Amino acid sequence: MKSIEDLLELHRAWWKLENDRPLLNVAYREHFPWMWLQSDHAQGMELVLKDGSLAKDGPLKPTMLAPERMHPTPFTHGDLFLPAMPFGKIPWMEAICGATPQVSVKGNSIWGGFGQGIWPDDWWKQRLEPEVNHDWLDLLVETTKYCAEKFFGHFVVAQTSIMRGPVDIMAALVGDKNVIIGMYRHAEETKKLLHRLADVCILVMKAQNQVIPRFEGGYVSCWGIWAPGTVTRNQEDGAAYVSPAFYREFIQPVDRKIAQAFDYTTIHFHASHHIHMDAVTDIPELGALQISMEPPPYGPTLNDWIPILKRIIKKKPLILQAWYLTREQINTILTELPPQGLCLETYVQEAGESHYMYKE
Amino acid sequence: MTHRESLLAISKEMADINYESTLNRCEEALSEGVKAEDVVKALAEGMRVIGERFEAREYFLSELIMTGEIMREAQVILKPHLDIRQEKVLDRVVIGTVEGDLHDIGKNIVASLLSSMGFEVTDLGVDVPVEKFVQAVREVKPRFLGLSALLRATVPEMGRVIDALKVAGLRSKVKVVVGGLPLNEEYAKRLGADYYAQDAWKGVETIREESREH
Repeated sequence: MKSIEDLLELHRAWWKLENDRPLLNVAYREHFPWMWLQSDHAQGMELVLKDGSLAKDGPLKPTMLAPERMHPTPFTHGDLFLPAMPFGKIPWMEAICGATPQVSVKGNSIWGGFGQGIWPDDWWKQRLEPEVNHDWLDLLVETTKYCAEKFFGHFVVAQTSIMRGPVDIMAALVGDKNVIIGMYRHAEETKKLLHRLADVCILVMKAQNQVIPRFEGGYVSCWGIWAPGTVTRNQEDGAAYVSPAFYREFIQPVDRKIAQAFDYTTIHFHASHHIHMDAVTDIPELGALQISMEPPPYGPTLNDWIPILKRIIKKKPLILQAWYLTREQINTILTELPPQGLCLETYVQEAGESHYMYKE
Repeated sequence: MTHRESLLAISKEMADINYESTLNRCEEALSEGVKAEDVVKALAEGMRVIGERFEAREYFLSELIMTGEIMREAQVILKPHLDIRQEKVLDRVVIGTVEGDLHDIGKNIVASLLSSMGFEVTDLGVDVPVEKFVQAVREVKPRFLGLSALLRATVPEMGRVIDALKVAGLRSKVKVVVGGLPLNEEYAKRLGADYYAQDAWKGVETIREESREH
């Protein structure tokens, strides 16, 4: 049984690569979503008694309780907080920069751009100043505020869960192909646009932080990890198309710019981004990496991942997220990687042993 | 510079993805009296090296995209110099990303490289409904139909397109090539496809090889 204070200490140590055990949120797919309701925290086990201790197994009497102690504490799942946040599937960043989101029911997605972008092929001749769409920005801030007013207390509040970075926004504006052509043929204009888009990203991230109530003196990321300062997250799916050299030249500087604007920044990557891991971990101001480990052929096999992950975790805290892993695979990760800086979120395929993963 | 040296230089610039230099070399070679057909062959040699480097993971999708761009521009330079009587249009290809999916990088690379090789490509774009594929096969009469998807959720659409071709009596008239990360050989077979392309370059190679054999 973990108290909120224990979790905060665990998270504080995680950012510094000093946690003595990994952060875990490992659940069983077949129980979803009931697993959260069945977890110890969600069932009110964090009830604080009049004497300040946590409720233990056994009878509960009114004399053991005090109103001031029974304040609501935020829900957790595993070692992570469960944040309330604006609906993540809306491509907020692209919309704020001028793209019109497109709903695709079949794809179960809302796209930020539509194939070829909204700017012409000779975008680099144009004025490279995307105007901020205040209707979308205001809606995002209002929605964040709503989450804070409605849910803060039982939940922590975080920024929206998918905020795309400059390269993805540029792709929505000019088309994927023109991003690449820009890097090859109009390097200066491409860099200028990426930096301008990074400024917009920072503006949007800060606008949300302004209306998110601080929690225990800090903020919680969309992955549920608390930090003793300002947090944000970033993602550059389009980086998967480019060489490590192009990442360093064009994308790393803007990822760094965003990381410099916040105390604790996490970049989200997919499995196909593994080629950029060395360049990403070279960003001194970057707080952590989050990797969605899609199975091959989206990225390496688990065995091929291990040396890459070992290199990463020497330098930065790492959130590993996988839709499914077997218990054996989980054990491989927990055995091969040091606990310092490791956070593992996954669903186990076998049934009946969820408690094993939560055991302290 | 001898003609041979000019052609070797074109192949090298192409293989190194030097946009300006490749095109400049093409123009220079033509002005020095090198045959346009030989320049085309030199570019093809450069592309062969690019394919090798892509497979060796020295090159990435960005390099394939630029290859398509260079080839597109090179065609503009070369076309007026090519002997129309000898110019051979290769097979027709219809290509698109299936409904519900808007990922187009792989599909665009395949379309662009095949066009530059002389295939007649009809690109239906992204989020293409089943009926539109069927209609295009009926009207364009392609030898190859390329279906692309990146999302697991949209891969079954490929099977629906193939089924619809059967219903329309068109399945035997077209070879279906499916490509996209969620797929593998076995899954492609289960969908009823003729060929599976693991990546964009494999897609191009598969169609080129099959077209050559035909």
